[in-house]
Amino acid sequence: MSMAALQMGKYGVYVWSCYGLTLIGLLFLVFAARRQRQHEVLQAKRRIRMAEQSQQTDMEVRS
Amino acid sequence: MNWVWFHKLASPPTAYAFARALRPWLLWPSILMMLWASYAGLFVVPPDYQQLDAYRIIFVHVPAASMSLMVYSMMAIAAGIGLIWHMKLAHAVAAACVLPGTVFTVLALATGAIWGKPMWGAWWAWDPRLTTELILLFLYLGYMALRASFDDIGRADRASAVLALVGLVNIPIIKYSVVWWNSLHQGKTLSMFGKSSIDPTMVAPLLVMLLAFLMFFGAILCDGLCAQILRRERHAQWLLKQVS
Amino acid sequence: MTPRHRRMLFVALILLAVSTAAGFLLTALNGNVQYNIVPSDVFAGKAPKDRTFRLGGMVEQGSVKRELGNLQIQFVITDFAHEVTVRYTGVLPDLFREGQGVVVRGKLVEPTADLPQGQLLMLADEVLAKHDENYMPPNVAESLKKTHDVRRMQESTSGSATAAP
Repeated sequence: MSMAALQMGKYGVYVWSCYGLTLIGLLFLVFAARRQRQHEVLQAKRRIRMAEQSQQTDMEVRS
Repeated sequence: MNWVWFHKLASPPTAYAFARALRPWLLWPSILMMLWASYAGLFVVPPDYQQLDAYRIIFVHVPAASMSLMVYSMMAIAAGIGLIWHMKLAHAVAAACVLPGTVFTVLALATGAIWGKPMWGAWWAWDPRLTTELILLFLYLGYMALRASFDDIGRADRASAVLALVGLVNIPIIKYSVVWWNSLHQGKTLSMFGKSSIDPTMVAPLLVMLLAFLMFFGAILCDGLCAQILRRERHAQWLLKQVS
Repeated sequence: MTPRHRRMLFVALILLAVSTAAGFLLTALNGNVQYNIVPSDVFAGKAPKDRTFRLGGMVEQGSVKRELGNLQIQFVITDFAHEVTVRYTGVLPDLFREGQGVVVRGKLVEPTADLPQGQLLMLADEVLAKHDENYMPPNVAESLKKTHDVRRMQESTSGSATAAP
């Protein structure tokens, strides 16, 4: 690939910044969506753990 | 008609498992297609007779813009279904649409501005198409803010659904703004029926990129939907199995 | 009516009300939503007086005159029915050329003596180039132009052939 192909006449800056911005936007989406899901998974795990603990203490109190 | 399959799919555990399984099948092919379409769009297809190499921005601008409309339509329809049938999963889909929709709108506006500067001679113009697309961005942001302002998910769902439905009227206005009024923005390039106004030698990267963006959105929606389902099913037993 | 039907009606009413409102609003705004007007509108008296507005049309072939030494440029905008002469000082967008669609922002001024009678003059402070939705490689555009020219030539020759006794 030659330099001329990358420069695109005088429009290289415009074209490349568009593709760069799009890449950033899409990468952000991938990581943001994955983080949201992982965050909810952690929350759910915590809720389950807390429920189990309270059950155990219930049983201890009763016995 | 037999709706059993639908109710099955719409049950949170099934939908969760389905979305988890579907995600990689959408994400990786879409990335490969984007890589090919970018390469072809940047280096393979010939330059335009007027805009020379600057027109290569079309291969990211048009998919982002068309997704910004598609995602909003989907969000509003899902919200409407959730409102009418009291379907939690539909509200979850609507809630998962807003983030990708906002990003696609921002990308469409940003790449449009960068394209407009060298070609039109201005970053921004108060042209009907540009202005209505900007309103779309505010609708997405408003939807997000409205959702965030409720603690109760059920109320957030209903209130934001009404906003999404009200904003739906903007979609045909954006689409036909270049037909109804004199504008700086040119008319549509691709046509489902009839002849597209882009030369056949240049159209392949655009079509592949459109499909890639659609599948990419699907993958993002899968993750977002899983997050929404987990948030909505606070105490369900099935969580135990899925999560641990 | 079940509650579900009531909710359906509610959603339908929202959509109906909003689209009706938008329809009325857009009809009322119609003139203001236009990004630009065209020379025929100016001649029909639709151009604001003493206020800047946007005028759109085609740069007439052969009408561009550049003053040597400075950035002033004069050209004619046409919509193939009426014409307005435009003067502008500044940098032009890359797509600006004869035969290209443009939108200029400016004010109508008293025509100077060197213009032909009845010609309107606009002093522009912004020139934007429009491009159409056609994308094609240079060689395709070239061959399109050629076939177009050939067809026009054929039409004119066949026209003269039939006109001749």
